[in-house]
Amino acid sequence: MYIVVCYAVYLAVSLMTTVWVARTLRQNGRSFLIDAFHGNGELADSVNHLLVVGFYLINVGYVTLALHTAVQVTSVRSAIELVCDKLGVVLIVLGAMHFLNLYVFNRLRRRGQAELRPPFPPDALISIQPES
Amino acid sequence: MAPVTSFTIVYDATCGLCTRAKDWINQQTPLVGLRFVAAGSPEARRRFPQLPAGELAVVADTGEAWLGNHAWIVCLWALEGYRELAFRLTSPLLSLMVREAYALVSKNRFAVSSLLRLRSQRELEQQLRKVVVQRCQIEPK
Repeated sequence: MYIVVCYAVYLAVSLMTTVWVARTLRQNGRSFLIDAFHGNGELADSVNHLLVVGFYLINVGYVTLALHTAVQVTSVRSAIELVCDKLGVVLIVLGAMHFLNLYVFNRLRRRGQAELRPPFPPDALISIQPES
Repeated sequence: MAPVTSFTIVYDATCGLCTRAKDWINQQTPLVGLRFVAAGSPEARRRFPQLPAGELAVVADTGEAWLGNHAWIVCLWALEGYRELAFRLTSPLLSLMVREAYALVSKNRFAVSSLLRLRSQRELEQQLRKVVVQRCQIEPK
């Protein structure tokens, strides 16, 4: 009986945390992406959505794969230990995915900004006389 | 640094290949403002006195200048549909090849122009000057 409660708690906490992180990413990543795509909000929303879908798939996939355990749960103590073990790994994976997403957002933004400048630094800086 | 919003391209008007390239750029859709000035012309000498003579140059409105091999990649960067290519051409291997190819074409540009029968802006101007245009006359009835 303990194991069923363990699974239920593990799934509930993991999935709720995944949803919370994904929503945070979606809300706060939007402004990064709008900057990266030079104010094109539609494109930014589209890329944001695609990134969040990828995030959900990887995390929910990992959470369900990591559910299985061979541990025999015979007491409340071992049940809490098992749930914490599993949740700890899931939270670390979520954190890693979150930072990977931040890196992707920042890279897209820097790339977007770099496109506003020619690919090379200038060879010279000269003074321009005004047109007559 | 500030985004670049307009360029003046200082090109060799005595070279047929350069004139053809200028016409091609004019047919494309620019992403920034583009102007052309013939190298060595009074306007070029007056506005950009510090530019080295006889070299393709792209001067931004901010006073930043790109010369030679870099200048033509910046020209590509300024055109719709070619910006991605311009960034790709800056990879180490490609930039080496591009630099050599540019040096080769630049050195032989007059030979290439005559081989391909490309007429320069200067030649076209001279030829047009020779054309005698009849003055308009209204025949008396």
